[in-house]
Amino acid sequence: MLSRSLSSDIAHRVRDEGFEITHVVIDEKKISPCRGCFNCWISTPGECVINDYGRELNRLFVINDLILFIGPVFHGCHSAPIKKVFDRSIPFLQPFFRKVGGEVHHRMRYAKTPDMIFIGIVEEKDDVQEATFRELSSRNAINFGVDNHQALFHCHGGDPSVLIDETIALIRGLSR
Amino acid sequence: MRQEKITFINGSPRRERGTSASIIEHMRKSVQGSMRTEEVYATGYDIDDKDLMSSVIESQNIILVSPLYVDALPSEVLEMMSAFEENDLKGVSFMAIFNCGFPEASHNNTAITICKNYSESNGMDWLGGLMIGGGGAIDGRPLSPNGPERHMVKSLEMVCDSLVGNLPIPDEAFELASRQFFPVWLYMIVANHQWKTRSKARGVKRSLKYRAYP
Repeated sequence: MLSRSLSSDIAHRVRDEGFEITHVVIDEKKISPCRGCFNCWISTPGECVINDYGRELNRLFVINDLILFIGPVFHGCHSAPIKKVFDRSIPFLQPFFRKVGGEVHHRMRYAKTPDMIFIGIVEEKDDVQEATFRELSSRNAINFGVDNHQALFHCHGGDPSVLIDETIALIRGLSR
Repeated sequence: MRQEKITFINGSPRRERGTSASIIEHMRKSVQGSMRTEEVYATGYDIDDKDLMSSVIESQNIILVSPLYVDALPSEVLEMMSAFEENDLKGVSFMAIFNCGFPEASHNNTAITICKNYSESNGMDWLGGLMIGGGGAIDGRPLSPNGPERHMVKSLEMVCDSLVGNLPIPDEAFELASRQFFPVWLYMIVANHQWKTRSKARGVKRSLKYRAYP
């Protein structure tokens, strides 16, 4: 629930700063998990065959300049709801391969990719989880062809206003 | 005392049709006669099914075999693991085997780290993680000791021997699992071509580069 209140507070502040935003609470949307069918690559290229809010998420990936994800951290991983969003986002990529930094990844479907900020929330300070979360966020950024990304870590007991200020500063920096 | 049952968690939404199923099938056959096995699918798993959950935990040996989804565990596997850790997992042996569609096995590294974190924070006995690249070359078919996946097959058999003999898994098993099936350049050419032929076979007219949201 902290994720939800923090995401609302951040959304309000970002809006007050003059940015146009879409605030999505994943748990309130009907989004099925990815079926691993690859139809979004070979049958209906660019579109998931599951007709639910997952399709709209893909559109949001395309039309926005920045996507900010906020949710609990699960042993260094994104939470299952956030991960479901990533899993359903593969139509954003082409099936074809390319090399990035000597490693094989998928080619980008769109000319522009949004910047990304990943905010992970934990019960208490945890260096192991934080290191894994930062590594995962970097890997996600490479996979989605993101030029600019940042990962922030927030503890339950921490001051939310510090996180919100930090997030606003990052968004201002990325929007320049 | 050595425990005699292994529960395989199949993390693939493709269930019995995916590469994870091929790996599990091979391992089940390898330990047949020495250990009992059970396969549980993360997709469609009912987290309220307490009997099934008890059965998994009581097996004392859990091997997660899963495809890599966007650098980590598929969302349904996360949900299942989250439900499991509401129980006492102390002392339960845990191993993870990830396969990805990229030719390099190293993509699986973060997913293995997440499983290791999970294992350690729940007081489980972490057996290690195997990283497999080029999973698309298996695509649900039976594994062959003579195919391009022969090093992986050898690795799986070493793991099974270790489980049956209650011995530590040798380092060689982890190294063998990560060996590439094909040179990267060849895998890229073949895979890029196969996307097109699979699409054509379905009579799809739309370009695979189609932009749904211009």
